[in-house]
Amino acid sequence: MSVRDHSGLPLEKFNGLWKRGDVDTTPRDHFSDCNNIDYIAQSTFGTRPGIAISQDVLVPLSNIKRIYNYPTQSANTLIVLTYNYDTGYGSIHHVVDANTVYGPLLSIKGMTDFAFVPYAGRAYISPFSDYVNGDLTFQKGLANEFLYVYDGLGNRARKAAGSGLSGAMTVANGAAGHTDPGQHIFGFVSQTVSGYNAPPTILTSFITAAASSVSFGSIPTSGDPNVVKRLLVATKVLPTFNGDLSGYQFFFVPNAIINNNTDTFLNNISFYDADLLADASALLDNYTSIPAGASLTLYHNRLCLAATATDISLILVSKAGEPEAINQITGLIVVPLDGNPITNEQEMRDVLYVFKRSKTTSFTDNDGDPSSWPEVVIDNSLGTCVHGIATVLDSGSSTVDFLLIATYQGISQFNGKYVTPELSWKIEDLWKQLDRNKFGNIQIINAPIQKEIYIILPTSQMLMGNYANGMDWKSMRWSPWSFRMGINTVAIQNIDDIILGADIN
Amino acid sequence: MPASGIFRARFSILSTTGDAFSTLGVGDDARHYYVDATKTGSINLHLFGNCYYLDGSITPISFAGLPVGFTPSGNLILSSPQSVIGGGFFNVLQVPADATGHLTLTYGIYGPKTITVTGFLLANDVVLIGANDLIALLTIQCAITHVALFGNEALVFDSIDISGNYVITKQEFAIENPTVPIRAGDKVKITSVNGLLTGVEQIQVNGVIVDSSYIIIQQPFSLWFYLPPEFVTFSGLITVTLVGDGVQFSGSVVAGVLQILSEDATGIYELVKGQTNDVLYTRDGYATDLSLLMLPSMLEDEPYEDDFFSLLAYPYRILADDDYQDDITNFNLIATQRFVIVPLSVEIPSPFIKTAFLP
Repeated sequence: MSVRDHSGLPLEKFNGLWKRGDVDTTPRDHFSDCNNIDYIAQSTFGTRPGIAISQDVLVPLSNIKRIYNYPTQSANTLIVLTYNYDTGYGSIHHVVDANTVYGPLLSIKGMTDFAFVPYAGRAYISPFSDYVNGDLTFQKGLANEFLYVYDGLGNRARKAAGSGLSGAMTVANGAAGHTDPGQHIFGFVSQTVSGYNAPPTILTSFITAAASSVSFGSIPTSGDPNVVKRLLVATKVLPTFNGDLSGYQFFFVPNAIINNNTDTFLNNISFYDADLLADASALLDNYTSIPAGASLTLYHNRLCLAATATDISLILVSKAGEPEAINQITGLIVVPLDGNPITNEQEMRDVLYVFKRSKTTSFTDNDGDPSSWPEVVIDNSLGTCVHGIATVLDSGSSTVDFLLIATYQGISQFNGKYVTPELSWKIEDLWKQLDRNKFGNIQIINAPIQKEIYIILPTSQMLMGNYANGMDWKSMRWSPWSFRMGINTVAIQNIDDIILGADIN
Repeated sequence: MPASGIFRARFSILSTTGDAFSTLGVGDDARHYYVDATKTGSINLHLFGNCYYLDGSITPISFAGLPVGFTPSGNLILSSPQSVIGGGFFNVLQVPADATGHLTLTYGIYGPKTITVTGFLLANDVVLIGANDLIALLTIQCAITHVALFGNEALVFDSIDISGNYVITKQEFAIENPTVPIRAGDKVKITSVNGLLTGVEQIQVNGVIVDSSYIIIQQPFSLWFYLPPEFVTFSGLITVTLVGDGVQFSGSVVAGVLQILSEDATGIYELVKGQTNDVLYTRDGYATDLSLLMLPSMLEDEPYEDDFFSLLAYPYRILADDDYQDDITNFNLIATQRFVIVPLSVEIPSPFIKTAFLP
């Protein structure tokens, strides 16, 4: 056929990368290869946007391992993990804006990653790292490390929870008042600035008189500078006392509070047993130090922490509204053991979904203790990795009615079940070439304003998926994005600002 | 350096094999090797060390020291200009009637080529055809077999040379601006005199294979590629080697040497819609600052190094006193060393598409 007879083949649409099967089978409206392409409107494309430096300070942070969006009560900020390859220490910083950075808030040897959840302006931080089991690499909480809490104000992070007061106090009848006469046990609960109530301590037995109030002296102060209050707890009248001070039910005594950590007395407290309504006994079973885990999330206003160094299939669930109060008996959920650690947890439609690398299960709050929540297995073949659920905007992880999840199969929509074909069906070969032992590096964000998904790959480069034409496997338009340096982490801030973190490795 | 000239290269002993030879030095620089009757042995010679003489010079140089573009031209002559006997280069002092021997020349990628010598007397020079390209690999093996019972025989050689003409040819491939240091992610541009660059099948940088996605342009006379990110932390010299596809050229060819600067572009970035380049942090050089530190109440207690320095977000160094813990009274003034940050604008790496197969 001569050139004169050749009829042109107009390409009117460019539907992105196709990496599936033989290159000769690439549809004409797709690319057999591409790099650093962004999709514009419905059918055009151009070079991806450039990146700019985000910090305008003399010493910007370097060797960025992880970035999360950290909404405080007054601003949208970032919390950032850097790593020093010379010392082996990971350090966490709070980047308030381009000109202000606090930290390091926390420096821990071997911390190559961390789990994070914001709560009431505070940041809960759990250091974790890789571990090798046979030929597989997983993540779990660092051994002998703990959950930390940061106040958002530039002060160093401290261990969440805490132990109670130590020492002894004196108890005596006070001025004229009232109590139910008889033997009570009194104690004090210390409360930290983050609202955590320590277990009742300095338990002291005392027989009250009917016409007298009760006064307390020599009350110990706490060595923890974060303690801001001490609350009186008491038993009701004990008909018999066997000598076991902690073997009875304690209640908070109304209006019996020391609003500081300096006074050593609390005088003239009157109460009736009928006033003792708020139970404090459960505090006795709380963790005083919460072990570090590889996953943190919030569910029904409870903090959920999973994959500790010693229990990779255990979820620690706090009391609602008290993220540091985790009961060591009733606050535990065991996901069936299969040798794989829990990798992720996420609430959607009032259900807590729990993920392992190739398993998805769910738990539902039945208004009872977490240990009683019923489990329903969702999928026994698909799961995800520690950062494998897309963060949406800068507020959470689920978009209206579905999650975007990185599985070994690809990037999938999850709406209670995994939708097939997966969104990344067109680039299945690219996805399946990724090193599964480095899936811990994958991180996803979903930017609905741009209608784009940004995925950090184990290769320290990015994959961008544009869904302006629709979020289904046919309409997705993919392109790898590369940079001169390795990109480790991605976050979204202020609705649609895409933040990237670059590491030397 | 002239564009052409003559050269001479002298062989030296590589090894002996077979039955033991005994050596006996005779005359100026002569080598006499004796082998006993009824024995068989051989001697291997090669070009080694400072053995090349250019344009009549008496100062030898090594093969690696030959001028860039050195190329033997035409046939080479194997000879022994100072032979002890007869003008040939191999001789036998006592010539037995029953002795046999041969001479083997090994050179080129298709060698060995064998020349059989009868009577152990080579009166004429040996012409080597087509040995030019791999002259450095040229070796000679001379073997002797003696079956008679009388007398020892000696294999004598003295100053075995190879000689010929040479020309200086311009290098086929060259790196543009080889004296300008580059960083990982910068373009490396290679040009070709004869337009063979489409025959490059693989690029290696210090042995690391450059992924094909980093190759920007591959045309007959120019080949551009991005220095891959494996060299982000590398500082020093790199050698760029081109591997041929066996059609336009074979084997590997060194295109040149480049100076690399390490690049620490790590940090926090943001995507900027509409921006057509990447602006990176670069950390070049140091500055020393004097800083006033607002220390917390820890000074009232005994300070520890970790507590104190963990407050600092930058590299630190105390200039005044290494034993600061012993007599610490005032930590307010401290000298700190930090990298100087210079924003660097670079191209967005290799944006490209490849369409599907279009009939």
